[in-house]
Amino acid sequence: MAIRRVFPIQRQAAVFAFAALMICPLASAQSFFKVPTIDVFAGYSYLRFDSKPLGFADQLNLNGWNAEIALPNLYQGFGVAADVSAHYAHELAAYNFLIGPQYTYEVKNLRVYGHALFGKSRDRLSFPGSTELEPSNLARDVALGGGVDIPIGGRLSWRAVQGDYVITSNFGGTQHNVRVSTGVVIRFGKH
Amino acid sequence: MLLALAGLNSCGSQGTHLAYVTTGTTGILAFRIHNTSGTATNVVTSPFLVGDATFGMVVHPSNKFALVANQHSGTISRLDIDLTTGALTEKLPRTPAGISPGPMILDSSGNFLFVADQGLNQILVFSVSADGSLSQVSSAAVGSAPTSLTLASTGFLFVPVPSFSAIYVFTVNSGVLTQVCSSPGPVCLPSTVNDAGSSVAVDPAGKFLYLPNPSTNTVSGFTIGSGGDLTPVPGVAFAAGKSPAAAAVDQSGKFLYVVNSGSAAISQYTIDSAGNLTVITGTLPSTGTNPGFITFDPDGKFGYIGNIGSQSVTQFTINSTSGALSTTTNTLQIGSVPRALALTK
Repeated sequence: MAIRRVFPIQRQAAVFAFAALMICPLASAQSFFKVPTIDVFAGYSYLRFDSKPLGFADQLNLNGWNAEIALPNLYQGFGVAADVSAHYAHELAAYNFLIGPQYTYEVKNLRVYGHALFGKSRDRLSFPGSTELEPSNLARDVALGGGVDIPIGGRLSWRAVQGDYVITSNFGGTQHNVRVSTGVVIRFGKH
Repeated sequence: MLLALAGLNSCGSQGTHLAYVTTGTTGILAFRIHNTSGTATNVVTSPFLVGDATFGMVVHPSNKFALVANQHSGTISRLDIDLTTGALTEKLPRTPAGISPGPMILDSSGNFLFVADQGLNQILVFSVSADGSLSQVSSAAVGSAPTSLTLASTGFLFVPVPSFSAIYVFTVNSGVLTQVCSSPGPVCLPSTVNDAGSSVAVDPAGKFLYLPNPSTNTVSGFTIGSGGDLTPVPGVAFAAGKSPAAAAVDQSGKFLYVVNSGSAAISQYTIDSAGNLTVITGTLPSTGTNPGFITFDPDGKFGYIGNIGSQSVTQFTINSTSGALSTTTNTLQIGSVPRALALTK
């Protein structure tokens, strides 16, 4: 029987869909068919990439975007977040595909959250290697961090800062990166 | 947040340089070397595949480009160096260079490139422009295959030709080579030696030349006259290890190192004012198997020995007082025979 090839991005989507399917019944049980709160975030992101293990002279500074969909309050502040980001520099592009648990705590009109996200990262070098024009690698990715959302009004909040310590394992090494993001959050469902 | 980003941006910048190792048909391996610790990190996209059968390689003093000999195609490639990533990018076209270009050396200013052609048995000289393009200036014949090139600060070029038991000496004037004759007569002959290794070492002042003697397990010393003539140092043939293959003098001119291909060890000597050698006592640093060449980085802090048998490059530190070499843990694993090593500043 032929085995159909599954592209990495499809695998990421499948993992996310599976997690959503597993979580949704829990949410339904909790709220009895009420639509759970959904936060959708999009904004600017900076990545300090640990490129020395790749033979670079120094760390790289990458700029890009970060988007996230979160179900922030499935059970007493515990929820789940799916996070995608892409960062670019002249020499390198770095992509992160992450999902994992998140805990949110509301204090003095602020929403403070922390999360542990797991998934894959793809790094693509923008110069020739020995066998590829632009060598790239897909590897394990872990992001530990959190942030602060400030409600602006209605469904809108400003994600003042989200900081993550991002550990990737591309090209046979381990990179210890720092990601900082900011942007807008739109809340759907009850709020 | 901006302050935090600025802080992140400022941390982590430390001095490094690059080491490139030619390996023949498997391309050029690249390593980033920490200036202080010597720690070596493989440049992830290497080896860089350039030409065919890469042999001699030099980095221009500007650090902007390197030149590498493609032995099988008889050409020289110029490669732009990306100091940030360590990547090499070839700039075509390649320059024709005889039929079998091998070892190469640049003069200190980077204006002239000397190439040992082991097929034509010639030394080819090219002028080097600021962007790395080459144009041939002159050539000179040697009796048989030249195995290395050593350029003295006094302007003489020394070329050992082991199969001809000779050392050819040339004066260099604006890239034009003129052979120094070992004796007056109708035919200009090179300095003959009994037992010539593949490379010679000259001290930075250009006063002494040392030649490994692989058959007799010794190293010979010569004084270099003002006209480039070679005169044996009295009491010549200092004892070395088994099958000494290559030699180098450190930047201070006080110490001589000879790699012994047959014993995987280095012989170490101090050089006195008359050119005599005294063995540095203590534990002999070991190398990989069949060491074939030795070179120092531009700062003189680290030494590198290419091991033909174990397909690696051993890194050493130099004790500036005693001259003793110590092996570091930063051995470069090549995975094929290392043929030459070139370093950025």
